Amino acid sequence: MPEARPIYLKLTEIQMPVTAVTSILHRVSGVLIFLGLPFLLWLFAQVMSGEAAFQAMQSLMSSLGMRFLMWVILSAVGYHLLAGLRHLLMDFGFWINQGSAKLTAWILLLLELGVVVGSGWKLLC
Amino acid sequence: MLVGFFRRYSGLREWILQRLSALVILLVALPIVRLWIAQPGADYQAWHGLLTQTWMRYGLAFALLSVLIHAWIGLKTVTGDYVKCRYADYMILLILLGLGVWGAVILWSAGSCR
Repeated sequence: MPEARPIYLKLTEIQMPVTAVTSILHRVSGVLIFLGLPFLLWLFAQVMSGEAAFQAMQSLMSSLGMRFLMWVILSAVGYHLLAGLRHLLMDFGFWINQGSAKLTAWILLLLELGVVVGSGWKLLC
Repeated sequence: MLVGFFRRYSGLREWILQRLSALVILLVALPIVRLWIAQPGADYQAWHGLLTQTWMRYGLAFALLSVLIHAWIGLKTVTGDYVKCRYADYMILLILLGLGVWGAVILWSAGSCR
Protein backbone atom coordinates (compact mmCIF):
# COMPACT_ATOMS: atom_id res chain seq x y z
CA MET A 1 0.00 0.00 0.00
CA PRO A 2 1.79 3.21 -1.10
CA GLU A 3 1.92 5.84 1.62
CA ALA A 4 -0.45 8.78 1.35
CA ARG A 5 0.78 11.87 -0.45
CA PRO A 6 1.79 14.64 1.95
CA ILE A 7 -0.70 17.49 2.19
CA TYR A 8 0.09 20.95 3.53
CA LEU A 9 -2.83 23.36 3.50
CA LYS A 10 -2.26 25.76 6.38
CA LEU A 11 -3.73 28.72 4.55
CA THR A 12 -3.02 31.06 7.41
CA GLU A 13 0.67 30.15 7.35
CA ILE A 14 1.35 29.89 3.62
CA GLN A 15 2.67 33.15 2.26
CA MET A 16 0.09 34.80 0.00
CA PRO A 17 1.41 37.52 -2.29
CA VAL A 18 -1.15 39.99 -3.63
CA THR A 19 -1.36 38.01 -6.86
CA ALA A 20 -2.55 34.98 -4.93
CA VAL A 21 -5.30 37.09 -3.40
CA THR A 22 -6.46 38.44 -6.74
CA SER A 23 -6.44 34.96 -8.20
CA ILE A 24 -8.61 33.35 -5.55
CA LEU A 25 -10.95 36.33 -5.58
CA HIS A 26 -11.40 35.78 -9.30
CA ARG A 27 -12.50 32.23 -8.61
CA VAL A 28 -14.71 33.20 -5.68
CA SER A 29 -16.41 35.97 -7.66
CA GLY A 30 -17.06 33.52 -10.48
CA VAL A 31 -18.76 31.06 -8.14
CA LEU A 32 -20.77 33.90 -6.59
CA ILE A 33 -22.01 34.95 -10.01
CA PHE A 34 -23.00 31.36 -10.75
CA LEU A 35 -24.99 31.26 -7.51
CA GLY A 36 -26.58 34.55 -8.45
CA LEU A 37 -27.66 33.42 -11.91
CA PRO A 38 -31.16 32.30 -10.86
CA PHE A 39 -31.70 35.67 -9.21
CA LEU A 40 -30.48 37.52 -12.28
CA LEU A 41 -32.67 35.43 -14.56
CA TRP A 42 -35.65 36.16 -12.34
CA LEU A 43 -34.87 39.89 -12.56
CA PHE A 44 -34.72 39.59 -16.32
CA ALA A 45 -38.00 37.65 -16.43
CA GLN A 46 -39.75 40.34 -14.43
CA VAL A 47 -38.60 43.10 -16.76
CA MET A 48 -39.76 41.12 -19.79
CA SER A 49 -43.16 40.22 -18.34
CA GLY A 50 -44.94 43.52 -18.49
CA GLU A 51 -45.29 46.62 -16.41
CA ALA A 52 -47.06 44.97 -13.47
CA ALA A 53 -44.31 42.37 -13.07
CA PHE A 54 -41.69 45.08 -13.40
CA GLN A 55 -43.23 47.14 -10.65
CA ALA A 56 -43.67 44.11 -8.42
CA MET A 57 -39.97 43.46 -8.91
CA GLN A 58 -39.11 47.06 -8.14
CA SER A 59 -40.98 47.04 -4.86
CA LEU A 60 -39.36 43.74 -3.88
CA MET A 61 -35.97 45.17 -4.78
CA SER A 62 -36.51 48.24 -2.66
CA SER A 63 -35.98 46.27 0.53
CA LEU A 64 -32.55 46.62 2.09
CA GLY A 65 -31.90 42.90 1.93
CA MET A 66 -32.51 42.70 -1.80
CA ARG A 67 -30.45 45.79 -2.47
CA PHE A 68 -27.62 44.25 -0.43
CA LEU A 69 -27.86 41.07 -2.51
CA MET A 70 -27.70 43.15 -5.68
CA TRP A 71 -24.67 44.96 -4.31
CA VAL A 72 -22.87 41.69 -3.62
CA ILE A 73 -23.62 40.37 -7.10
CA LEU A 74 -22.58 43.60 -8.78
CA SER A 75 -19.35 43.67 -6.80
CA ALA A 76 -18.67 40.09 -7.84
CA VAL A 77 -19.42 40.81 -11.49
CA GLY A 78 -17.29 43.94 -11.42
CA TYR A 79 -14.36 42.13 -9.86
CA HIS A 80 -14.62 39.13 -12.14
CA LEU A 81 -14.67 41.42 -15.16
CA LEU A 82 -11.73 43.57 -14.06
CA ALA A 83 -9.67 40.54 -13.05
CA GLY A 84 -10.62 38.93 -16.35
CA LEU A 85 -9.31 41.94 -18.25
CA ARG A 86 -6.06 41.72 -16.30
CA HIS A 87 -5.94 38.03 -17.23
CA LEU A 88 -6.37 38.94 -20.88
CA LEU A 89 -3.58 41.46 -20.74
CA MET A 90 -1.26 38.86 -19.30
CA ASP A 91 -2.44 36.30 -21.87
CA PHE A 92 -1.09 38.60 -24.54
CA GLY A 93 2.16 39.10 -22.75
CA PHE A 94 1.69 42.43 -21.06
CA TRP A 95 3.10 42.96 -17.57
CA ILE A 96 3.81 39.31 -16.98
CA ASN A 97 6.95 39.69 -14.90
CA GLN A 98 6.56 39.43 -11.16
CA GLY A 99 6.87 43.11 -10.34
CA SER A 100 4.37 44.20 -12.96
CA ALA A 101 1.99 41.41 -12.05
CA LYS A 102 1.94 42.59 -8.46
CA LEU A 103 1.43 46.17 -9.57
CA THR A 104 -1.51 45.33 -11.78
CA ALA A 105 -2.90 43.21 -8.96
CA TRP A 106 -2.88 46.22 -6.64
CA ILE A 107 -4.45 48.37 -9.36
CA LEU A 108 -7.14 45.73 -9.77
CA LEU A 109 -7.90 45.77 -6.06
CA LEU A 110 -8.03 49.55 -6.11
CA LEU A 111 -10.43 49.59 -9.05
CA GLU A 112 -12.57 46.97 -7.37
CA LEU A 113 -12.72 49.15 -4.28
CA GLY A 114 -14.13 51.80 -6.57
CA VAL A 115 -16.74 49.37 -7.88
CA VAL A 116 -17.72 48.24 -4.41
CA VAL A 117 -17.98 51.75 -3.03
CA GLY A 118 -19.68 53.10 -6.14
CA SER A 119 -22.32 50.40 -6.40
CA GLY A 120 -22.78 50.40 -2.65
CA TRP A 121 -23.37 54.12 -2.67
CA LYS A 122 -25.78 53.82 -5.58
CA LEU A 123 -27.74 50.95 -4.11
CA LEU A 124 -27.61 51.38 -0.39
CA CYS A 125 -27.81 55.10 0.22
CA MET B 1 -11.90 19.32 -39.74
CA LEU B 2 -11.89 22.20 -37.28
CA VAL B 3 -13.87 20.04 -34.88
CA GLY B 4 -11.22 17.36 -35.15
CA PHE B 5 -8.54 19.92 -34.47
CA PHE B 6 -10.25 21.11 -31.31
CA ARG B 7 -10.97 17.63 -30.17
CA ARG B 8 -7.25 17.05 -30.00
CA TYR B 9 -6.43 20.43 -28.53
CA SER B 10 -9.22 20.70 -25.99
CA GLY B 11 -7.16 22.96 -23.76
CA LEU B 12 -6.82 25.47 -26.57
CA ARG B 13 -10.50 25.13 -27.35
CA GLU B 14 -11.47 25.96 -23.79
CA TRP B 15 -8.99 28.84 -23.66
CA ILE B 16 -10.51 30.39 -26.76
CA LEU B 17 -14.09 29.70 -25.68
CA GLN B 18 -13.50 31.32 -22.29
CA ARG B 19 -12.15 34.51 -23.85
CA LEU B 20 -14.71 34.58 -26.64
CA SER B 21 -17.68 34.02 -24.33
CA ALA B 22 -16.34 36.63 -21.91
CA LEU B 23 -16.12 39.16 -24.74
CA VAL B 24 -19.68 38.48 -25.87
CA ILE B 25 -20.99 38.85 -22.33
CA LEU B 26 -19.12 42.12 -21.90
CA LEU B 27 -20.43 43.56 -25.16
CA VAL B 28 -24.02 42.69 -24.34
CA ALA B 29 -23.73 43.89 -20.75
CA LEU B 30 -22.47 47.34 -21.76
CA PRO B 31 -25.81 48.83 -22.89
CA ILE B 32 -27.48 47.45 -19.78
CA VAL B 33 -24.87 48.89 -17.44
CA ARG B 34 -24.97 52.19 -19.27
CA LEU B 35 -28.71 52.45 -18.75
CA TRP B 36 -28.38 51.54 -15.09
CA ILE B 37 -25.72 54.16 -14.45
CA ALA B 38 -26.96 56.97 -16.66
CA GLN B 39 -30.64 56.65 -15.76
CA PRO B 40 -30.91 55.51 -12.16
CA GLY B 41 -34.63 55.98 -12.04
CA ALA B 42 -35.22 54.31 -15.38
CA ASP B 43 -38.77 53.08 -15.56
CA TYR B 44 -40.35 50.09 -17.21
CA GLN B 45 -40.56 51.84 -20.57
CA ALA B 46 -36.85 52.54 -20.58
CA TRP B 47 -35.81 49.02 -19.60
CA HIS B 48 -38.34 47.23 -21.73
CA GLY B 49 -37.50 49.55 -24.59
CA LEU B 50 -33.84 48.59 -24.41
CA LEU B 51 -34.26 44.87 -23.89
CA THR B 52 -36.78 44.35 -26.67
CA GLN B 53 -34.74 45.99 -29.40
CA THR B 54 -34.10 43.32 -32.02
CA TRP B 55 -30.34 43.62 -31.80
CA MET B 56 -30.56 43.42 -28.00
CA ARG B 57 -32.67 40.27 -28.14
CA TYR B 58 -30.10 38.58 -30.33
CA GLY B 59 -27.36 39.91 -28.09
CA LEU B 60 -29.05 38.54 -25.01
CA ALA B 61 -29.45 35.16 -26.67
CA PHE B 62 -25.76 35.03 -27.47
CA ALA B 63 -24.91 36.36 -24.02
CA LEU B 64 -27.00 33.65 -22.39
CA LEU B 65 -25.24 30.97 -24.42
CA SER B 66 -21.91 32.58 -23.59
CA VAL B 67 -22.68 32.64 -19.88
CA LEU B 68 -23.46 28.93 -19.98
CA ILE B 69 -20.25 28.11 -21.82
CA HIS B 70 -18.13 30.42 -19.69
CA ALA B 71 -19.59 29.17 -16.42
CA TRP B 72 -19.30 25.55 -17.48
CA ILE B 73 -15.63 25.81 -18.37
CA GLY B 74 -14.85 27.80 -15.25
CA LEU B 75 -16.79 25.61 -12.86
CA LYS B 76 -15.35 22.42 -14.30
CA THR B 77 -12.00 23.58 -13.04
CA VAL B 78 -13.35 24.58 -9.67
CA THR B 79 -15.20 21.32 -9.04
CA GLY B 80 -12.21 19.40 -10.30
CA ASP B 81 -10.08 21.15 -7.72
CA TYR B 82 -12.33 20.77 -4.71
CA VAL B 83 -14.94 18.08 -5.22
CA LYS B 84 -13.99 14.42 -5.20
CA CYS B 85 -17.16 13.21 -6.93
CA ARG B 86 -16.45 12.60 -10.61
CA TYR B 87 -20.03 13.44 -11.50
CA ALA B 88 -19.90 16.89 -9.93
CA ASP B 89 -19.32 18.65 -13.20
CA TYR B 90 -22.19 16.80 -14.84
CA MET B 91 -24.45 18.04 -12.08
CA ILE B 92 -23.22 21.57 -12.72
CA LEU B 93 -23.87 21.04 -16.42
CA LEU B 94 -27.44 19.99 -15.68
CA ILE B 95 -28.00 23.08 -13.57
CA LEU B 96 -26.57 25.30 -16.29
CA LEU B 97 -28.69 23.65 -18.97
CA GLY B 98 -31.75 24.18 -16.79
CA LEU B 99 -30.87 27.84 -16.40
CA GLY B 100 -30.32 28.04 -20.12
CA VAL B 101 -33.75 26.63 -20.87
CA TRP B 102 -35.33 29.10 -18.45
CA GLY B 103 -33.41 31.97 -20.03
CA ALA B 104 -34.44 30.90 -23.51
CA VAL B 105 -38.07 30.70 -22.42
CA ILE B 106 -37.91 34.23 -21.00
CA LEU B 107 -36.29 35.56 -24.14
CA TRP B 108 -38.53 34.00 -26.71
CA SER B 109 -41.85 34.05 -24.97
CA ALA B 110 -41.68 37.68 -23.95
CA GLY B 111 -44.35 39.23 -26.08
CA SER B 112 -44.69 42.80 -27.18
CA CYS B 113 -45.13 45.55 -24.64
CA ARG B 114 -48.22 45.15 -22.56
